[in-house]
Amino acid sequence: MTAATEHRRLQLLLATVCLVVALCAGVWALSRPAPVPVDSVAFRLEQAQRAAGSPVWSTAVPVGQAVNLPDVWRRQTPKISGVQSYHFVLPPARWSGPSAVYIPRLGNRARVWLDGELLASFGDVELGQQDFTPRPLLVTVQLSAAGAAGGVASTPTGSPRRLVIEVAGSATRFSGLSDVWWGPAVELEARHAARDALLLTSTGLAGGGSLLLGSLGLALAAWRRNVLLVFFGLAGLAAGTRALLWIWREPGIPYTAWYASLDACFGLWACCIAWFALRVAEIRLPALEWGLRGLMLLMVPATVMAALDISTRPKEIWLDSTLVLAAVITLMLVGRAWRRPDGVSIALALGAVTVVTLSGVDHWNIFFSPDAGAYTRPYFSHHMALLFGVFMAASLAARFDQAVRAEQDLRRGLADEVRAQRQELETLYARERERLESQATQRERQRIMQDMHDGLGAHLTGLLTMVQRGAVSPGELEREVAEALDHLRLTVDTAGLEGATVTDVLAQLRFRLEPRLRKTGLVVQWSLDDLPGALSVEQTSHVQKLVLEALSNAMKHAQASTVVVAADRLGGLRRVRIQDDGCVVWHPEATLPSVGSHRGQGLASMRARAQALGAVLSVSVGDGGGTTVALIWPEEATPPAT
Amino acid sequence: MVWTVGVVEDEPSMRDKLVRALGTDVRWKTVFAVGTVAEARARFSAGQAAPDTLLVDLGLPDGSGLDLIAEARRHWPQCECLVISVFGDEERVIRSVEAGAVGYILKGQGDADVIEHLGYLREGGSPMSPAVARHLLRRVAPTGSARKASDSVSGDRTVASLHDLTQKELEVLRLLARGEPYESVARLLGVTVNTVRFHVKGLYSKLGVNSRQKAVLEGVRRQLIPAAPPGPSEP
Repeated sequence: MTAATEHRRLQLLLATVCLVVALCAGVWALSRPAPVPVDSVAFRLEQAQRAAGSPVWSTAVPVGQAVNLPDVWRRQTPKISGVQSYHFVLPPARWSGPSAVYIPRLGNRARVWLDGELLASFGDVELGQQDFTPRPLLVTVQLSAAGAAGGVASTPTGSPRRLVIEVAGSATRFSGLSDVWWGPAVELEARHAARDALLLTSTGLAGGGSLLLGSLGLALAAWRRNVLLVFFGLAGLAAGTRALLWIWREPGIPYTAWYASLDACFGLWACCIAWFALRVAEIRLPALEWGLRGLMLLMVPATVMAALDISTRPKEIWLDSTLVLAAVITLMLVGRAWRRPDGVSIALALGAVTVVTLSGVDHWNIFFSPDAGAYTRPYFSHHMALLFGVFMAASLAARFDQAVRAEQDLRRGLADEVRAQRQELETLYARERERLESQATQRERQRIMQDMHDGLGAHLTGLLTMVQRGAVSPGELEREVAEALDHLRLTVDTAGLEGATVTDVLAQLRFRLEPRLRKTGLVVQWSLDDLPGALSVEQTSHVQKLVLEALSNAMKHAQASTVVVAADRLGGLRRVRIQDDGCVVWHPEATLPSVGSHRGQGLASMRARAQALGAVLSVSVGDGGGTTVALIWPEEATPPAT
Repeated sequence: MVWTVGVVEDEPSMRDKLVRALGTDVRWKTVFAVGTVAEARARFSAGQAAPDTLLVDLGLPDGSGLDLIAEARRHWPQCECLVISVFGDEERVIRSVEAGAVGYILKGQGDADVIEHLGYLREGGSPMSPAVARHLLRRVAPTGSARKASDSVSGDRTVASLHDLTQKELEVLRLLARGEPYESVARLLGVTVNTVRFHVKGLYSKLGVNSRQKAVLEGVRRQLIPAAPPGPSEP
């Protein structure tokens, strides 16, 4: 284990502890009952007579069952639903001015009666299409309008005033009645406004924040085509919608639909964050995934049954199972963060701890808390959703950061790899070039040696023989030496003609030979058209030697007086012609010499050179005598491999 | 008029042959004939008057004839340097001209040929092989620009570059590149052989100027040489 990992684990521990402490402190602060002003003169009504159905005003004395407030219907055995009337006998007033009845919480709709007179309605008790559960209610009492002096607590006949709160609701919606306050309107209005504002503001902000995060997530998901961001966006939208639905007093849609929407949003949110967390943490546990799918399936009947007021049991099972599964996932996320304490894992673990802590608090308050005050405590599920959304965003940011770093590392690695590969290629290329150069040098050396042997060497040897025999005149000697020198110059020229065309080669040949040919009396007519196609040094040498051989033959053996050297194009062909007017020394069809072995060798050598050029060599005889040697080959000829 | 000649040739027989050939014609006078770079340099430092023509062999025992040509151009700006070459091949000719030579003569010619050739060189230019002509054409090809033929006489030759070739010079070059001899070029263009030689000398001169200009520009580009105008002693 590295020191860095150890350090990150300590950070994780510290952050978890701090988070849990902060959450608990927040929950405690928000769950405390609103402080009662020291100068309060209002009465807190903690007991009532509860009777099923709407109030009956024929009896003077309240009838029914004495209950302590808050009275939570879901906690009763059997659970209570329908319409219940709570009867209070108001204590004598000790204030002047308008009075008020303040109800921190009830469920789900209500009518408030005073001495048989209807003071206020919250929703339609009979129809059951509204829900006023989460928000505090206030009813201002204008007793003077009822025919009595303001501020007194008795009827004009002197009997105590009777307050009846008729509650219509369902155990599924956490119905019941909190404690009720009876006091001066000024004081109770202030307390009602403070609680309502706190609830609206905190829930509104949490819902709005979740909607914003969700929208951003979905926009990013559409842009980046990323499934994880889809989960993130849907979770945010579901949580935000649920928060806004929850504080919406009269949504204008059927109650059942509204109720089902609330649960569906919660279910969607829970599933999305679970999938998101598992995917980001790369936890692939089939049992867990099947569990999640099972919960999604269970959610539908549980919600429908609760919404239709059939039974809350399936929903309770579903909620309990969800919480258990959330706890398991949280443990796995924390475990993963412990094993691999990177930014992504830590953000996910802290988010999961937040969810489990706050939903545990809600669950405790709703289902298990023995404290009567739990009924009026706020829900934290909306804040929990926003907080988890923030942690999700943090984990995505950390993941993005990781991806950027990984990409940078990859780029660096690739650049290093490319550099290494390039270096290797350059080395290989240099070696290959060296090898090719060496081969080319070797070939060129061989060519020069061959040229020296066949040209200069042969001349010098012949010359030596002539000198040794003493049968050489100064003129002959000069001619032979000049010829040897020309051969040497042609050999040197060949090296400089790399990439030259046939025309260039013939032009250089003409330049070298013309002065000497002129002295011999032989008339050479040159007709050189521009022929395309670059020749290699070897090809240049072949063309040069082939034409030289033909010229030499015309001059020495055929006794010609005129020779035409022509280069022209024939369709897609290149043609070089050497035509003399001398006697015929080569048989046109011969591959073997017709006269003399030297001439035969000359023809064979010319054929070999033509073959090396990929060309056709033709030797023809004119009607009036003379020989035409023609070399023909395509403009794009590829010489045979040597 | 007598033309003075200096000879730098390490091979005694060749050197003697040249001196002998020059001695057969009253128009020529050999002022010195030496065999090494050091001996030739001694002539510069001794303040000897510049000969009209300097014949230089490239392969000298104590140095390169190319370096000697460059030095001679500095010390004797009016002197025309000619290279004595066995092969007259493209590479050596171009390097010589770029060093400052105005032409070359081939070894292995008869005495009369040498004198005739030197005469041509004084009158016009040395032979231009098709390979050298081809090389020049390749150098001109990127711009393909050419001035009118009339500019060839009035143009300032000392600053002319290859891009300033006249139309006539281009035509001469193309014919030479096809191996046409001077006589044939003259006939085809309807001018005298001397005019062709004149053009060839101009072409060699431009090749040399162009190379030196390129070297200076390259030096300025690399900031090795200050971009100031050359001093008055520079040719």
